[in-house]
Amino acid sequence: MKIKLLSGIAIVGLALVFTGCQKYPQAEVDAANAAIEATKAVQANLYVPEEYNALQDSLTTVLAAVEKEKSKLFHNYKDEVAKLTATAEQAKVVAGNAQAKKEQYKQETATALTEITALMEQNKEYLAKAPKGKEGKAALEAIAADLTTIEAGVVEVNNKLASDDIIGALNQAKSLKEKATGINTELTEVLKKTGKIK
Amino acid sequence: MARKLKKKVRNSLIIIGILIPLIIAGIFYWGSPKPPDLEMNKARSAISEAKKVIASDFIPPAFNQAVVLYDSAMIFWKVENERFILKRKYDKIRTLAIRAEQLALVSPKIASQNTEEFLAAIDRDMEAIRKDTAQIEQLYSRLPLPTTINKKYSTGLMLFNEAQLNLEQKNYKVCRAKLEIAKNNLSDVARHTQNLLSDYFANLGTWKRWADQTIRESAQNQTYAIIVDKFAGKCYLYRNGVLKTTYEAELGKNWIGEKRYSGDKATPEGKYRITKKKDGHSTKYYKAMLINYPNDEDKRRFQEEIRRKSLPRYAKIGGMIEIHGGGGKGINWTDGCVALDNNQMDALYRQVSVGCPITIVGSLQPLFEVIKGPKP
Repeated sequence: MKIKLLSGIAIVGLALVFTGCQKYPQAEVDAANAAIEATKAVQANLYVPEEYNALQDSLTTVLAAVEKEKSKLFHNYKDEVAKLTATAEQAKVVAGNAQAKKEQYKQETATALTEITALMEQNKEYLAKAPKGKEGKAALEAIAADLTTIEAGVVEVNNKLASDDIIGALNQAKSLKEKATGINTELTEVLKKTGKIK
Repeated sequence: MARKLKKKVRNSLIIIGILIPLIIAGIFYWGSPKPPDLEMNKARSAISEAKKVIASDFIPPAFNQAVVLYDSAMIFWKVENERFILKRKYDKIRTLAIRAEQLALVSPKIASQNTEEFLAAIDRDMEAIRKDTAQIEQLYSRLPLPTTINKKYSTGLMLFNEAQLNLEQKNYKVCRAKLEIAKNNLSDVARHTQNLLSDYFANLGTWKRWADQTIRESAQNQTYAIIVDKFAGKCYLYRNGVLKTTYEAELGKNWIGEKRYSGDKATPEGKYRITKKKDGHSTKYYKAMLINYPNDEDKRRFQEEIRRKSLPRYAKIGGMIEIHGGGGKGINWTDGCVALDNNQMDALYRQVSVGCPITIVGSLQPLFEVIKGPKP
């Protein structure tokens, strides 16, 4: 009887040895990879580079852990599956953060463009009021040329927005705004001197 | 007896049946090669740390190679894991991982050196641009420049701002590209203004001689004399050869260079005299003092230009150049006259009579002094 019991245990044990290993978590690996690709698609590497790099590190670490487990005689992927799932979830958060950052930059660009438009309107109004004829119309030609350059720059900013170069658009918009503000200050001073504005 | 023997054989067979699988399992367990996880972890950790400190624009080839080696090691690891457990070989994977770790460890040093060199070059360029810009800025507002140069200046400044923003954001390659165009634009402007000023200041000797003669004449005759320095935008009143008062002067829009013909909006250079004083309804600029432009030298130069056909035949020499009021606008706006603000015009008008010498010069200081000194 004792012998029979021992035989049973041995057979079950051997069966466990050869058949009891867990299946490679291919679905979870694929899901995590896909989630990371999705973050790349929303340019997380540009908008939230640190979060994106951390995410990639997590995936590389967990993939190595999966292979380590696979190298063993008995595979147990329980921890790795949990980590892969967490990585995929984190990827969604990172993608969301990237989109939010991108939206914030877009908003900042739009605000800068609105401010530039207002400044340009005022600059044109001031330019019209500025000394004319013998009293300096020609002297303001340079400013008029600057205004044209700014207007061309605004078109470039919009093109950059359209081609999804949001960071480039924001930087150019900031620079244009600074220039438009400088001209506004200059014109304001001239008009104050001539008494055309208070 | 036979039954006992049979039982023993059966028991032995059962024990062997149990032992053999256990021994086989033991062989599998202890006989399988050790996975290269330690080496892979070290390599991964080194790559991860390197990535944190290396700016994306300065990733050295060594780092890329480390990543490739690590990825290759992972692929080989997967391939080996597909093989029969006792036949797996991890040596190659270990070698790749160790090499990846070594390369990843040296990468930050290489990147840091590259970054430092790049940033130093950027710093030098930015400093040169700032210097150029400060010099242009000092003269820019006073110089009549063509539209193309104005546009280059504006674009250059805006690109320089963008380059600075990109530098702050560590977008080094974009910064470099913007800075390059800004540098080209601004150096074109600097070159243009330098050439313009070099040509302009070629007459400095003559101007100084005229100014000296005028001051000497004022001293000898015990009279007033006026000297207008166009570049400085100043009108100096001398009495008995001694500087008495300095006024702020505004000139023609195209003030730089000699007056060549009527309508060129240039303020003439030369030795003149006050020929008429005007006030009330005789002038629209508060008070005015007409000068004897064109003088003989102006007429000779004008005829010479007509003869050489550097001026059209129908060009006129112009006239009605005055010192008048209505100034104080802070810009050069006249058609060629010298404008003072009304208070200063009052003071000058009171002291100066018809016949008073007035000498208009491009500058009284050499170019290098004008550039290094405070805003003229």
